[in-house]
Amino acid sequence: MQFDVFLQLVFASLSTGSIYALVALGLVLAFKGTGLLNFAQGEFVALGAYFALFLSLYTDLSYPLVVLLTVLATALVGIVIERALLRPLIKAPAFTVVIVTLAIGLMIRNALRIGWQETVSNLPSPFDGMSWAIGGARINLQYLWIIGASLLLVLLLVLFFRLTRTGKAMRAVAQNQTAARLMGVPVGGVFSLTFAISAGMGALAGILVAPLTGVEAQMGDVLIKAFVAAIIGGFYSLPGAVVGGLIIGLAETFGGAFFGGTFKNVFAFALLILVLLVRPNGLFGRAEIRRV
Amino acid sequence: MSERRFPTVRSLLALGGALLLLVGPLFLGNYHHYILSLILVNVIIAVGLNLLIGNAGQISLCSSAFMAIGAYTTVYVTTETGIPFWFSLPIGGVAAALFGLLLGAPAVRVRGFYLAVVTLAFLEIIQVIIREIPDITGGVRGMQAPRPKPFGFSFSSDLRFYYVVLVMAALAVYCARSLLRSPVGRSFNAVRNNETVALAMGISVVRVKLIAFVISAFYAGIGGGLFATLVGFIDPLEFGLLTSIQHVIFIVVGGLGSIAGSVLGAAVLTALPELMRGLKEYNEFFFGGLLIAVLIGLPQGLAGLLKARPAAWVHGRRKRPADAAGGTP
Repeated sequence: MQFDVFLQLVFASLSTGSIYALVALGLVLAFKGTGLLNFAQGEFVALGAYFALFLSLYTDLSYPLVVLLTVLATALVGIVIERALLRPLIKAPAFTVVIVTLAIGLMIRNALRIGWQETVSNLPSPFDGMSWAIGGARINLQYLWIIGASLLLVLLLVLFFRLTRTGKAMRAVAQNQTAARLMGVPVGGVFSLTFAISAGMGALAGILVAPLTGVEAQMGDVLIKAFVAAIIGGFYSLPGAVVGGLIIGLAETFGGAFFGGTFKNVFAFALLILVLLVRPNGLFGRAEIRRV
Repeated sequence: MSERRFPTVRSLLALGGALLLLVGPLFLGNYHHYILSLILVNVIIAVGLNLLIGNAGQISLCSSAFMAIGAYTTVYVTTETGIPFWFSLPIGGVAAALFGLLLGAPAVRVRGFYLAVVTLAFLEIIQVIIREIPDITGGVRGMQAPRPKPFGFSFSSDLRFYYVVLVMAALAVYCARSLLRSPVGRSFNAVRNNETVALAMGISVVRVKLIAFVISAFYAGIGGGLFATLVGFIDPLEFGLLTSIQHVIFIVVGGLGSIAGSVLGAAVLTALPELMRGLKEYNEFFFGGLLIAVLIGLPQGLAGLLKARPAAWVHGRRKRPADAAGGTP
């Protein structure tokens, strides 16, 4: 394989992987914080892309403002969903949570499809048509922007959890809700904030990936890959989700390049089954202890 | 159960229903035969899925994948080898059951959310496989599924095929009832309620879960084979996540862990969208809303409503645990 092709593939897979990582991070964050696995997380990606599309078509706002407004708006949707539908389910059996969140996702997807009749639309990006020449390869600047923005977000998240009072409160709730409540942490508020951040991250993933894939109601399908990323990472681990996402991005892109694109979509699932059989708790997970 | 010597309201109702199902369609048109058959196919799938989700307590989002395996196998075997429908249909069911075993191997190792994700991934794998082997499945363009002509007797009319499906559905319900009264069926409920306790009682939890996966897959496979033959054309879109969710809606609305619930849910929710064809665009919205409303407001489904009638508590009926599918959260 030539070096320029190799470079091209590396950047392509890292950017795809970053998208998976962002969606997986949103999932894991909400799961750790509230114990709810959100099967509607993929719809936040679609929602973000649609909000951004709407804003850039009907207003003259600059790109950073569009990004900011979109993330805030989707975060608000996340809060509303959490408060209205998910809060009553905190102690519900897994089955109920899975089905209710799936139903929410279904409704959002249906609403988007009805509200925006065009099948595929293009979201403009300031990096359209720009590329970076390196080692004989030309890298689409959007790839770099995706990788950079994801890295930045992860870094901000780490700092937020380590340094701020709110971040520490969120970590406390993730560890032990009862103890956190006894220490005066407003647990309900933390739940809302968790889902706001989680939804915002999904929206950001949507804005970042839309210029490459187009805006369509099917964007939420990225969720399954994000699940696989989260499981590879161990489901309770934020760095694990990032690593899992990047691994899937690499496996897919390079697997597709070597074995042809037909079975590209199978690699993630093959990885999933392999991980479940060899290390059921993921690369970064610890064995589950079951109390009787 | 045997203390009833006189025909009860319940058995009279069942008799009346059976008569209606047998004789009624003679006075209906082709379209209604088609809808009735579709309802019965969905009843078969729902009954099988309810055994897995409602009784054994295992989350599954891939019933439509097993349905697809049954459908494609039945159609392929019938058209390519000339094996008659009566044999190709069970072959389809067995193929689905084998895949159920295959999925069960990793699936029994995980529970709760993990299981949901694994079944979701399985669904996706089957979708990719169907799309990528067009020589066998017709790929995204789909394939024709001819009506069988067993013993030179044509099933081309929807009425005749309706009776085939009716017999199958009756058989499916009967087998499920018997299963639930057998030691295996009881152990399903034990595993759902508490895996650790079931294990302590000497129940092989892994084996029971595998059995549940295989049986449920077999039901879906048979349902798929009948579905393909009924509709006459199949493509991968027919067997996506939406179809799986629809099957889950049948049993959630009908009542988890209840055979009557599966039948009721499948019947009502197959007929309803057909009646509201004008609102097809809002289908997913309607189903999603219904699902949330029932799960939060009526966790025992329609079957729970039936049980609330006075006669039930006069007889001192046992209470069913409210979280029918949530043995281990």
